[in-house]
Amino acid sequence: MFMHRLTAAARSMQQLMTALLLMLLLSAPVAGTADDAQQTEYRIKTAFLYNFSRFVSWPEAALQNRSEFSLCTLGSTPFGEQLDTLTGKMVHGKALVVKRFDRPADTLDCQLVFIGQSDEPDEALWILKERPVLTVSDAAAFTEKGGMIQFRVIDNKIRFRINVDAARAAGLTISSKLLSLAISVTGAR
Amino acid sequence: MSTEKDGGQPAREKCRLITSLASFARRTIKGILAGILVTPSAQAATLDSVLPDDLTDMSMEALMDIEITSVAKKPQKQSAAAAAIFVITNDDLRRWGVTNVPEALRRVPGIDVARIDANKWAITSRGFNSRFANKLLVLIDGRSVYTPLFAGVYWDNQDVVLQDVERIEVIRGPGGTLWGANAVNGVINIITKSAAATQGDMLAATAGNEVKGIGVARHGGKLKNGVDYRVYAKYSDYDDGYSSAGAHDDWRTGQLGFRSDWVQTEHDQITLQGDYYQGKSGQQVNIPTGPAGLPPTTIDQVVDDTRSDGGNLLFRWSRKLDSSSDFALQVYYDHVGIDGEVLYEDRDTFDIEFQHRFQWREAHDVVWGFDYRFTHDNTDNNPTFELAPSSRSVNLYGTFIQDEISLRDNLHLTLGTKLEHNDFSGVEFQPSARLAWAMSTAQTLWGAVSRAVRTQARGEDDVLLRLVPPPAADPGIPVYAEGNNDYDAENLVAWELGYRLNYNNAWSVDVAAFYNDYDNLRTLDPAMDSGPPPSVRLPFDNNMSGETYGLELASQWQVRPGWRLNASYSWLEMQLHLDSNSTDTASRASEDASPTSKAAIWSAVDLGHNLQFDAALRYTGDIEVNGVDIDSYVEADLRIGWEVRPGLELSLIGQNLLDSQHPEFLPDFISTQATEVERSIYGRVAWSF
Repeated sequence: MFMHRLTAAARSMQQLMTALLLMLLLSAPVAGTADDAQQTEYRIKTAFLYNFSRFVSWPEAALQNRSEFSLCTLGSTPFGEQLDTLTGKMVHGKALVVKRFDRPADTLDCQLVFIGQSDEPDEALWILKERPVLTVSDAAAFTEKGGMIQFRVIDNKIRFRINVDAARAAGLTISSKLLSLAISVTGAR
Repeated sequence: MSTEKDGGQPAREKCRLITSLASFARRTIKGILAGILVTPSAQAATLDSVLPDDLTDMSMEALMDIEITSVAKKPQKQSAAAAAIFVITNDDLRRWGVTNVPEALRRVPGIDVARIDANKWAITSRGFNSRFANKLLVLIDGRSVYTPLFAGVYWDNQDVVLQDVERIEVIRGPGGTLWGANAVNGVINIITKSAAATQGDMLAATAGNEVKGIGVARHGGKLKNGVDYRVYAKYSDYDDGYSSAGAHDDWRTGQLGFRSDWVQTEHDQITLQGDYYQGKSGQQVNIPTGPAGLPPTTIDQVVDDTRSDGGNLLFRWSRKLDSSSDFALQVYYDHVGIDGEVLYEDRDTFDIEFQHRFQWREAHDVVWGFDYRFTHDNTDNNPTFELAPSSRSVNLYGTFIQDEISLRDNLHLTLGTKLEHNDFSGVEFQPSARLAWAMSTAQTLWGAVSRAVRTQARGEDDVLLRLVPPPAADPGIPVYAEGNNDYDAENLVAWELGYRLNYNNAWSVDVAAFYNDYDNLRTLDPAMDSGPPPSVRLPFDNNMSGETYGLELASQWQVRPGWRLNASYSWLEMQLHLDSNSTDTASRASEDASPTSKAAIWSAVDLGHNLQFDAALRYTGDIEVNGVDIDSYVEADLRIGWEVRPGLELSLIGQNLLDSQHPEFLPDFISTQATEVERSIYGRVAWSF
C-alpha cells in the first residue's frame, strides 16, 4: 500500500516536472542579456582590481596630498562600464575614482593602472618604472617584462602572477595574503 | 556461441529505435497533457542574474572559485547548473584525510561506496551496486576509465596524486547527452590541476597500520618557451583487510606521470599529459574445478596476485575564438593490462573528441561535437573465464548537440541529444531537456528529463564464465554465465527535480529528487544445456524493468569564520520487475544491494596556531548481497592537521574508528574472498617548497 502511494507520488512528480518544462516551452523565448563568459570574466577582474587596491600599500608620500585614489585604464580594455561600479568606494582612506587614458604619460598620477591588451605594454612600463603605480594587465609575459600583476585564466578561473621585485622597486608593499593567492611570485619575498 | 556480430542487426536496430522514440514521444505527450492543466500558475519571475551584483563583497578566495564559462563540456557555475552536482575540492581531499578516490566518494550524497576487499570496491550512483557496477561513468581529465570488458571501473588502477587534484565533480543522474553511453546514473570527473598551478616541489609521505605507506614526489617548473610542467612519482602500499580465515588482499601500486600546459596566447591552451603505472593486487579467488559432467565440482581456493600495468597519453588543444565561442580537440591513447588467475585483459584504446561552442542569436549558447573511439583487446582464456573471440576490436562513434537557451535572464532551458553508434546495439539516442530557474540570487530551481543507455560490455556478448554454484545446486553440474549476441542495451528515462539555496554564503542547501524508469535491464535466465557434458547456462538477457526513486541532500553551514559544518543524506528505493517469461532468480536482488538511506555529517574547524581539526560521522544502511545480510554501520573519521610553517603540514588521521572491523560488500561473478574494513590510523607529512 505504502509502496503504491510512493509510486503514485513519483508519478505525479514526473507529471509536475513535465508541466514545468512545458510551461517554459510555451512562454516565448526572450533574448536575455546572457551573462556571457567575457562579461563575467571582467566583472570578477573588476572585483580583483578593487582587492589589489586594498591589499597593496603605497608609500605615504604617494597618497598624502590626494583627495582621491585613481584607478586608471590605459588603452582599450574589455571592462566596459563595469569599472564604474567601484567609483566612490573607500581605499586607504580615499574615495576611488576611475579614469580612462590612451597615452601612457597621462597615467603618472594614477595609483593603479590596468594596461589594455591592445597596447604595447612596454612603453607604459618604461614610463611607470619605479614610480609608485601598481601595474596590472592581461598581457602575456607581463610580469616577465617588469609589470607587477598579470591576470591569467586557468581552468576557467581567474588567477594572477605577481612580480614582487617590480613592486618593491616602486615602493609598493604587497600583502602576504595577496602573495599567497598568486599562482607564481617572481622575485625574492 | 555464434561469432557473427552484425548479421540481421540493422533492421532490428531501426525497429528498436522507432519503438524507443515512440515510447518516449508517448510519455512526453502524456506529460504535456498533464502540463497544460498546471500551466495557469506560470508567473513571470523577478530578474536576477546568478552572480551577486556586487562582487567586491566576496573574498578573493571566493572570486578565484568562480568558473567563468560547465560541467566539463561547457563550464558554468555549480549553483546555476540544471543537474545534481557535488564537488569535492582539493581542500576537502586534504581535510577529509582520504588516501584514494573511492574513500573520497564516501561522503557524496547519492554515491554508494562499499569495499569488497582492500583493493576492490563496489561504487555506484543511485543504485545497482556491484563490483562491476555499470551505470556510472568515470573520467580522469577527460579520459574514460570505464572498462568495456565487463563494464565498471578497476578502482585499484585509478591512482592520482590527490594533492594535484583540482576537484572531483560528481554528477548524479544521466549524462548521456554530453558523455554518451554508460553515463546512466552518474558521471565522475576527476580533474587535475593545470601545471601552472603546481609549480615548485612537493614531497608527501603517509604511513600507518592499514595504509602501510604512500610516498609522493612532484616537481613543477617552467621551460624557457613558457611551458609549465610537472612530473611526479607515487608509490602506495596497503595492508590486508580482515577475514577470520586470513586475508590475502594487500596491494601495491606505483605510478609515474607528467602534465604540461602551454598557454601560447590568451586564446590557445595546449595540454599534454601522461601516466604509467604498475600494480599488484592480492586476492583469494574461488575457482570451480573438476571436469564438466563428472561430479563433484570442487572449489579451489587460490591465492593470486593480480598484476596490472597501464599507461596513457593525452593531448588537448582548446582555442578561444571570441568571448562566446571556443573549440577543443582532445586525443588520447590508453593501455590497460590485467593479469590475474581469472581475469586477463590486455587493452589498447584510442579516442578522439572534438567540440565547438558558439553563441547564436544572443539567446542560444550551442555546443556540439563528435567523437570516435577504437578499442582492441587480447584476452587469455582459462577454464574459468573464456571469451570468444579471444581478441576483438570495437568501434564507437557519435555526435552530440546541446543548446542552452536563455528564455529570460534567469531562466535557462538546455536541450540536447547524443547520437552514438556502437558495435553491439547500433545507434543509440540520448536526448535530454534541462531547465534552470534562478529564482533569486540565492535560489535556483531546476528540473530535467533525459534518456540514457548502458551499452553491452564485451563480456556480455562473448563470455563463458564458470561460476561457483550456489550451495543448493547439484555440485555435479557446472554453471556458466554466458554471453549473448542478442543481448541488448539497457535504457533509462530519468526525471529529476532540484533546488539550491545559498543564504548569504553562510548556509547552503542542495536537494535533488529523481524518478528513474529503466527498461531492458540485465537478467541471467537459467537454461539447461544437455551437453554432453550437461551444464547450466545463464545467458545474459534483458528481461527486467524497474523504477527507482530517491532524494539527495547536501548542506553546508559556515557556523563562524574558521568553522564549517557539512551534512549529506541520500534516500533510495528500487523496484525491479522480471518479465513474465523470465526464470531469473538473482537479478532482482540488486534491489537490496544498495542501502535505502545513507548519511554523513562532518566538521572542519581552524583552531588557531595553524591547527586544524576535522571530524566526520558516516552512516550506511543495511544491505543484502547475494542473499547475505550486511548490517548497517556508523563510522567516524578524525584528523588533526598542523601547518608548522607555510608549505609544511603534519597531520594525524583516523578512519573507520568506531569498529575494529566491519563488512561492507560481497563480490559477484568472480568469486573472490570478501574482507572487512579495519580501523585505520596514519600520519602524513606534506612539504611544498
